[in-house]
Amino acid sequence: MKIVIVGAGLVGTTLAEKLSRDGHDVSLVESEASKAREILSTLDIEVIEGNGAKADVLRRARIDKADVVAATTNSDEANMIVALLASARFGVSRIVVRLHDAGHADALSLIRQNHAGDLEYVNPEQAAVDRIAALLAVHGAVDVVSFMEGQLVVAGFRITESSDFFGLRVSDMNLLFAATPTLAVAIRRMDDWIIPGGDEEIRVGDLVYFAIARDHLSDVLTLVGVEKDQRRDVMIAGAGPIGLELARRLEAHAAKIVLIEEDETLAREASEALDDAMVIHGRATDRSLLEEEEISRVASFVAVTRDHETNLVAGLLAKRLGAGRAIVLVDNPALVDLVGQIGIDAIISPRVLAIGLTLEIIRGRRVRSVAQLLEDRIEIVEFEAAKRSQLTSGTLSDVKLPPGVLVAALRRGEKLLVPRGSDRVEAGDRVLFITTTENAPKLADFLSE
Amino acid sequence: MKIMDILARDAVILNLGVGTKREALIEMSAALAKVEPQIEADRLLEVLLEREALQSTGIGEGVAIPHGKMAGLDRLVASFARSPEGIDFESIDGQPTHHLFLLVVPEHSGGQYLKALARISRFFRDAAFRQQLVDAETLDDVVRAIEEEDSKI
Repeated sequence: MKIVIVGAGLVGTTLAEKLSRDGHDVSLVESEASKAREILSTLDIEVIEGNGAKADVLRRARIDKADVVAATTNSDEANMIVALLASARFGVSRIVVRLHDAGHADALSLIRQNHAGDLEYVNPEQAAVDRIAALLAVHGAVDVVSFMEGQLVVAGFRITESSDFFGLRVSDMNLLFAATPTLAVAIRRMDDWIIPGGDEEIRVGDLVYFAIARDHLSDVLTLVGVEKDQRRDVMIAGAGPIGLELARRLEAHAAKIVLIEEDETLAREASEALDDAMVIHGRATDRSLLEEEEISRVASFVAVTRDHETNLVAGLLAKRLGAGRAIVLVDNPALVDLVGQIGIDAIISPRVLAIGLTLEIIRGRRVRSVAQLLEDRIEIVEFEAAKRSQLTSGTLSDVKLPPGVLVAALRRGEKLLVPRGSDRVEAGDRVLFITTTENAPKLADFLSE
Repeated sequence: MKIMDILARDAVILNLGVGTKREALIEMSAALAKVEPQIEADRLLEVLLEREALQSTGIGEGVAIPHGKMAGLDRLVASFARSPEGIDFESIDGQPTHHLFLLVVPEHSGGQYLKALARISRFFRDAAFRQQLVDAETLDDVVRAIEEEDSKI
């Protein structure tokens, strides 16, 4: 496919890299000359310097031949102009727009009215709220992603000595928990990411991602060995779009919510917008403030201020003062490595989330969902099997999946199965694949055959 | 949870006769039903075979952990059988099975059920434990081996 990406921030650049590795013809448009030149010199991607909101610049990126356009600049307005040009002027069929303010979706729908193909938007803040809410629902998890309309979750847990999983072989789990689909799909051990084969043994200190049927989640949690936290209170630092939306969503669950905001205007607005949550004007890194607000009674502390270093510091402080777990927003991939090592329980990166959502749309209809685990080394792909495809041509052991690709789950109708080699995928089945990022292009090729 | 707490020691079989998977399960079900009034042999056999049909519980290295849920039971119950000759249990590694650890649990036991399965399979990951069971001459030897393993974790 010919793909034009406008905006060479982290999201645009990562997408360009991934998609060109997938074998697509990618052009990246960037208005900032220094940034454009830097990418040109470090990555093997075609970079067009210029303002992507102008038709002649887009033409230089050969947009007239493009199958897909992704507008990922930091400006919603610029992204919408790109979408408008791509749709009305150049007739591109699939368009993805990053929008920070969901309020712009109305304007986008006007463009969509006259658009012949797919026009979708990705809102990283919304994605972050979704991810945090999912994390809060699974106690003790470091990372949680839902698949198959929520029927299946992939959740990462750190294995301690009190976990029943430690010492178990992956094949033992598969055989013994056959009635409780629970599959270890990825293991982070020290600096390595492993997609485990049957002989792999789970060790203390591993961060293990399990694919778990939603109905069996509580059973599996007892195996993981996370101690039940009776506390329900949630404290949120930062009343920006993420913090505010999260507080609003949690209000419905009747837990006590405290929202801390440094900016007086934002704090006042938040307090007017929320019913039950208590809004405090103050700093999230203020120890006495946290203590005053009974941080030790808080089950989860969520730091989502604009300043990511503040989030880290506030998260560590909250943990030190007795909060059950700390979930912090950090959009710097280099800092992601710190999870667990310094006592932070989970890191949320809206940009990494935006990359996954954008890929999902770019890769097309049958790909229902693409999620990357932290650090972008493992990819999980939910796929709907087509008729007469290579995937449905024989049993799973016969169809010659690319090496290192794991089939984690299969849904047929309402039934969720852990697929075995002798199973055959049928058209219409939903299949969940786990692959290393390096092998993702091979999987994509396989699925398109 | 200690395995000794759930083991029905009077149902342990030191020398299963040579036979099929089904025959082995019949013998174990009967032995357990004899000492455990809440369990009916035929019903247990049915439950175990149903589970085996889903996927063999032969986890390799000579070990199988047949298991199932039973209505009317109020706690977890386990038994053990040893087959010196080995039984074809359709194990994952294709090798004959010498150690059969049977687990039966109440209908709604969720997490506890999985915890027990995990614990038993972890016991058998230990080659020394498997050897102790092979070498055991009496029921007491078997019990001692399990007690030792129980005290480790």
